[in-house]
Amino acid sequence: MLHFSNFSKSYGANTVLRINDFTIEPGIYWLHGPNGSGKSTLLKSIGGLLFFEGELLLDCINLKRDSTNYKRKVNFGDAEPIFPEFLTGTEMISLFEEAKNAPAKQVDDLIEGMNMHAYLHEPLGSYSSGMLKKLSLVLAFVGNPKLILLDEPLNTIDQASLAVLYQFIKDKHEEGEISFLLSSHQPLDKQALPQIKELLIDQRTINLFN
Amino acid sequence: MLSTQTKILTKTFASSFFKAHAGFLFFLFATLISYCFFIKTLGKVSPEEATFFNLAITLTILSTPIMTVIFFLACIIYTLKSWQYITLQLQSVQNEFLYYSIAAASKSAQLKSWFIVQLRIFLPILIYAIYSVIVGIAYGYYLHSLFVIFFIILLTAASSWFYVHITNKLNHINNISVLIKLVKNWRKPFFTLYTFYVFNQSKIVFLITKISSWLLIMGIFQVFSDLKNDIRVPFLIMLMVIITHTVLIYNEYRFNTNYLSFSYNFPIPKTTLFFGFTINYFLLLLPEIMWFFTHYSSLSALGITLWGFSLVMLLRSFLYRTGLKIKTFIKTIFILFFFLHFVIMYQLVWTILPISLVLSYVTFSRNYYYKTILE
Repeated sequence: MLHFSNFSKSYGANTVLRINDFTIEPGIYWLHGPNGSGKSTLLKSIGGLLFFEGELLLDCINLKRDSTNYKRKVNFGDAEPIFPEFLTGTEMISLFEEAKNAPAKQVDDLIEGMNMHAYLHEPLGSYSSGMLKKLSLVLAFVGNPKLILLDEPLNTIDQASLAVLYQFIKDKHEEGEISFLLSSHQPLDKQALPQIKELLIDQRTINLFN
Repeated sequence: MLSTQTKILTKTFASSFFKAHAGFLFFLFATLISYCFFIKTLGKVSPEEATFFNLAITLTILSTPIMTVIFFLACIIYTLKSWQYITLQLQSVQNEFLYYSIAAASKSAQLKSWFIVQLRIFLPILIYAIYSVIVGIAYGYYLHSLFVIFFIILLTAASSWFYVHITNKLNHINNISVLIKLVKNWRKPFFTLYTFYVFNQSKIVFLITKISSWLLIMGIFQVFSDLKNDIRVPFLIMLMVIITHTVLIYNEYRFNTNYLSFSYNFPIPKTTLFFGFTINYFLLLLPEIMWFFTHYSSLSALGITLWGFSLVMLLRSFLYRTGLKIKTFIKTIFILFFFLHFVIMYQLVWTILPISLVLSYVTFSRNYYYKTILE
């Protein structure tokens, strides 16, 4: 599914990630590693938000050569989302629906489940970090992706919403054959996501963790 | 000896104020240079006469009530700009600590620190004020000179009181401007978001830009009133209009990087991205575009507008190459400004249009996706 070829990411002279030849097969993955190991950097690179050296291919679509097609198939939810404060949650969802060519009301179940209807019409400047995080998670499901990247999805959201999110991930994976890469410091709930596999970032590279 | 509190506040707000507004301050400098450059090139005013005119302008400000009022209005706009900047900075997460550290000091200590911060921010005004006071005293305008000093002290004191007030009051969330509330139900297409941002969070910068732009249009048009049929004049006006708008171009790049970083994951072709964002400049430059269409033939106005847009595109693309490095951006504007002066003088303007468009597209497409974003 996702193939890395001579991938490396540096900040100045400091190389933080080097993945020479590695393939992630379809599935749900918990990406973990110590602080500063490069989890967010890796997800942002896969999402097309950061420059890197080398190649990244999703089902043979090259991010650098065919970025428009690639980005139709990869969605990203930020760890600490920042959106224009004057837009409302509803406007953000419409913006993503348009950009990702998604049908309307595609994420209504998730919005309902996370109890977001009450404030979606409010400007984002009035949102708490938890509300913004929930919105960012909802936006990551908009469109027709094959891979969804969620950076620290457990941060700042309440337990009830978390249960809804787990169920949504599970359903989307089973019904829609969508793969997930979820980065988190905390262990994910293996009862809620029994099929989850682990990826470890250590020593500046990525490995399947048994 | 400044207290640690004053040093922190000065470093956090005064120094960053100048960095953030270097584009605007550069514009003032560039305008001055261009004024001297053109007057000398056309040979209409000798250096002695230019000195005389500068002195005359200062004396006019001191002796004419309307000019004094305009000068004071400019000071008030500058003050409001600094208030807006510091208020926005105080709302950022990295400055939250000030609410429970510096705000715990005595009110008099806080007032004193903020007074010094505001004086530092007033540095360009202070330099001019000192000059005008010296000229005023030399020519006997004692009362006006005293009034200028008193007014600046008053603005500084009011500013320090304002900063102490906002850092000591309990915050409530109400960040949305009246303008944005009015267009609450309007559809906001992705490529126009920056325009909405300008009317929500950058109104004073926009207002100053527009005032400067119109003063320049009127000024140049008047100075060259005997050369109205010379095609170089509207191009010179357009160049000055674009230079005054560089601060908005820089802010657009910053807005895209800070608030629209999620859009780097959008499946939008780069040609659409390249041309899409120009809609903001069409909206923001609409008054100036209208002016060209009412003062020149439609064909000329269209040509001049396209020429101006090619410069906007070029400056935007340079930012995608350099990132948010304000010094590099200012140097680029400076070089471009002088180069284009010669281009206009030697009537080579039309060669710039295709060169500028090709260069800006190549620079953008090479840098947009992977070069500078979030680095």
